[in-house]
Amino acid sequence: MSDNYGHDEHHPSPWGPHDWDHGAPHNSFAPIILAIGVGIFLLMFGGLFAFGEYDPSYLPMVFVGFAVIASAFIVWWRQDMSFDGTYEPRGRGVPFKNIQIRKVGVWVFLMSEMMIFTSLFSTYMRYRQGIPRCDTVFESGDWVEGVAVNCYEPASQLIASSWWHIAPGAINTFALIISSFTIVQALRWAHKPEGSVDEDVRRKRVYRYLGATWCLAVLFLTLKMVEWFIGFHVPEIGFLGIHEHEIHSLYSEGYLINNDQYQSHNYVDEATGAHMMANIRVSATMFYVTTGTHGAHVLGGIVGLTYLTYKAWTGAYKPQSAVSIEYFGLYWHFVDLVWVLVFPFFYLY
Amino acid sequence: MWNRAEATAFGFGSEPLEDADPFKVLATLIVVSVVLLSIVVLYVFYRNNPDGFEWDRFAPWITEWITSTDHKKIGTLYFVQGLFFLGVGGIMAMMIRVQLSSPGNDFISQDYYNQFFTLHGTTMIFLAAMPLIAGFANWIVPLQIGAPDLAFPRLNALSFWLQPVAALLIFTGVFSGAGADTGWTGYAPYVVTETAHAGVSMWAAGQIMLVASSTLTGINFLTTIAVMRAPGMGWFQMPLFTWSILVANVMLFLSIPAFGVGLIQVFLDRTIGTAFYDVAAGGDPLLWSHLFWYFGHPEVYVVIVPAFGVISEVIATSARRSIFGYKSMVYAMAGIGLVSFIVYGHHMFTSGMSPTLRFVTMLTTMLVAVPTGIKIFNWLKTMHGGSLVYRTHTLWTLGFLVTFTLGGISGMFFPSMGMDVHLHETYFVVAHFHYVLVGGTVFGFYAAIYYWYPKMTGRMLDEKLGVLHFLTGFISYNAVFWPMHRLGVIGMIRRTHTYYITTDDFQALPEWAADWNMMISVSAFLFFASNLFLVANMIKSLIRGEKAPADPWGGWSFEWMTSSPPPTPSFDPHNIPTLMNANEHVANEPGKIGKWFQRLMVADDTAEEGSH
Repeated sequence: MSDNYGHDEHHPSPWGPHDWDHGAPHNSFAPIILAIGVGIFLLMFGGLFAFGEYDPSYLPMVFVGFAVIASAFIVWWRQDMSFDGTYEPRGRGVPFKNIQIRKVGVWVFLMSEMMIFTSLFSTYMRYRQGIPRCDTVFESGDWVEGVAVNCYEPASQLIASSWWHIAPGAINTFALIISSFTIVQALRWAHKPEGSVDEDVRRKRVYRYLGATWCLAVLFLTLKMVEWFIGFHVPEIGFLGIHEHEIHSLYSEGYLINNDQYQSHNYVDEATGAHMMANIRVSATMFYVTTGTHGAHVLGGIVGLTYLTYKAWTGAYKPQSAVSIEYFGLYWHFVDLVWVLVFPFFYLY
Repeated sequence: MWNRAEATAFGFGSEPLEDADPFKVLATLIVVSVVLLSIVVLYVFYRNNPDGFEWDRFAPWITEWITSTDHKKIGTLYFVQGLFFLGVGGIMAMMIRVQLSSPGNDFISQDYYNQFFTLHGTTMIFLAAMPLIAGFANWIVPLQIGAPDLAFPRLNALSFWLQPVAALLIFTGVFSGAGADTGWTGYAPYVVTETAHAGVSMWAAGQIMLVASSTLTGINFLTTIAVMRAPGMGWFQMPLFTWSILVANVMLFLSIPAFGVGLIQVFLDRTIGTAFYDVAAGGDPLLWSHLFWYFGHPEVYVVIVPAFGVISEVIATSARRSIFGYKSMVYAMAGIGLVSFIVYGHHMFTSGMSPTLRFVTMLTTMLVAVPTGIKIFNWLKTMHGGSLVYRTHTLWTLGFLVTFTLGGISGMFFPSMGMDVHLHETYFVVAHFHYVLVGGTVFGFYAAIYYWYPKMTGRMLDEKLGVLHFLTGFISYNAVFWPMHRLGVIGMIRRTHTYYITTDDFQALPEWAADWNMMISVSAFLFFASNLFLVANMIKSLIRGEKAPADPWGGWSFEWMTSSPPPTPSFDPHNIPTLMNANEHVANEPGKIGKWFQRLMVADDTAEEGSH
């Protein structure tokens, strides 16, 4: 090559850490490792479950896939740890002049995320509109004891049945909204000009706010697991008028993707004592996959926040590198906004 | 004599070839190709290091290739992958043609045939055409807009490496003998039943990875083109190839998430047992068709629009004048991009979709002919009054104009609903989409290979071999697909593993159909063989090609200003080129939408311009 503009004067390692004074990484092992990890994971996941049949012999290899993916992220972050904001390419032409290129990238990425949730909501609308609701079918009397009918049982039938039932979802909503606030606070503290704030105070504020965001995201997923699989116990509190009772998880109430013989005490004919049996597989599928996709985005956020919090703990976020928190914040606000749509459609309506 | 194709391999006794297990044939061919690929890699290494093979030198060399984030290296990797799978898909097409060469043939059983045409379609669209386009986009777009590299080089490397791994997943079925047998459209509900082969799960999983790859590519190119244009290069100073990549990526990027979600639904249905497309539980197969074709129709424009870009570049350079009607070309491409989202219903005319929607998509589909016609007109007008230089890339471009126009005309039969019902699921459809995908995309990218290969490798291609490639390829190509129109009109059904001429079966065809099919098969083999000229040409050029000057064709966009091959990074990040005669006002003042973007994204005015 005739002239490489001083490109190769340093010797960048494809394993990191990267020398950011010389521009973006030229070499990285992270992409190929990540691709192989995703491939192993998908291949083994296809063996772990086949049409709902669980075969645990594939489980170790699924974890191998996860491990390979994790090692790719570690390589990627190892290169990024030394990033201190001196290398921050900016846009040149209109209309993005002087806007950080990475910020434009995040916005474009959010456009495709929007399409993903749009497709899921289209699927939801199709089935919600196209399949009669179970309570309508029950009241119409158009069913026979012992024969399952196809009907749509919204999860809200179970979740919105009592204040206790909806509590995990409600708390989750507020946890996400508060976490959007804490991430902005982290950005604000990282963004304060040099000299206006003690560096150690800045370091502590940034990593504590990021850590708080991490905790709220973990709380979100924990409560989701409680709501889906575990359930909880409400104790007797006499002076509040609360009586001891169990809040069953959706799992134990039989709200499952493979339940084609769903029975509920709501669908018992009081006159004859006949039970209506329903095939609720489509409605359960819609609920678990849509909220699960959102949950996967929260999980991705937790993974990203782990890195951000660790980096903040080392004191790396200064005004010139604070914008990295903003990029994550954009994604995090998006995840929050999607929840604000998911919650009414799947928990309330 | 028409119901058996028999061949005896020399030296293997009298065992007829029809007894060979097609999977063994295919797997052997693929393994042989992989071995050849490794030999080529080792040979290329040897060419660069003639002293002999040493691990200490080979390791850093191969490490550089698998870890590189340079847009040119990744472009080359895409290019190699695309050509490799073009060959694999071509081999599958040849097997299909052997099977179809005579009626009632049993060279490939029905079960295998289903897997072959599924993998042929998936391979050609996702593993051959898309990587070829991505390869040229990677190579040329940053050079054309004066950017040192793409906006996110590491994400770009990730986009590439997802592809070969995805290819392995898609092909696992072939090696296990139970590949996907759903057609590349993977129609529900068959795709989620246990009757469909086990390979369908991995076919879906591999395509999920390809969706991720395409999404990342989309992010990368949209961002790069939006923010990294050289000073002075406004939106309407961008070369048309860059415009075509921009339009294609906008389409791809906004449509592929729907496909991704559909694939994830299928994958979950087939693994954890959800019920998206389980008809017994109330799932709706039409939903898959909607999600698939919402992506699928923009997708066919995603593969043709970059070819438009190539043709615009080549025609302007070869006619030695700037393209006629630059702005109308841009608006036509943007118009195709816009309309592509509202036409997909024409793939579902016979699916029982709402008649109102059918009528609407009939009109919108016919609308596509308008911007396409504008483009064809502009290309012809560019040549008219120019002084055409007949290079190999010019010949392929002229070939493109003929075949693509023919493909476009046969395409106009489908939007009219009554005609579509007759032609649906026949070889007329096969003829049409091969005319636009091979005669359009592949011819366009052959032109691109002859046009940009000297820039990419620094060595000229052999013009004589190139012309030979064009003549043999163009003639045999038309001999393959032109007769299919007539076979389609008389009702030869696609996607079935054989056809009959001698029974009273409702599929029975007139006797001459057998001769025509044999002619098609022979031509198909000639077309396949003609592409070996291209391979030979590229290898010959790499070994002892003439050194290429920086601008061998007299082009005037930015990529011709760099040396051949260009340095790394392609332009000095501290001293990027400037487009001098641009309209300063247009280039530097944001319009209304631009101002809105700037408010939204909080431009940092305190920063120095374009700093690194």
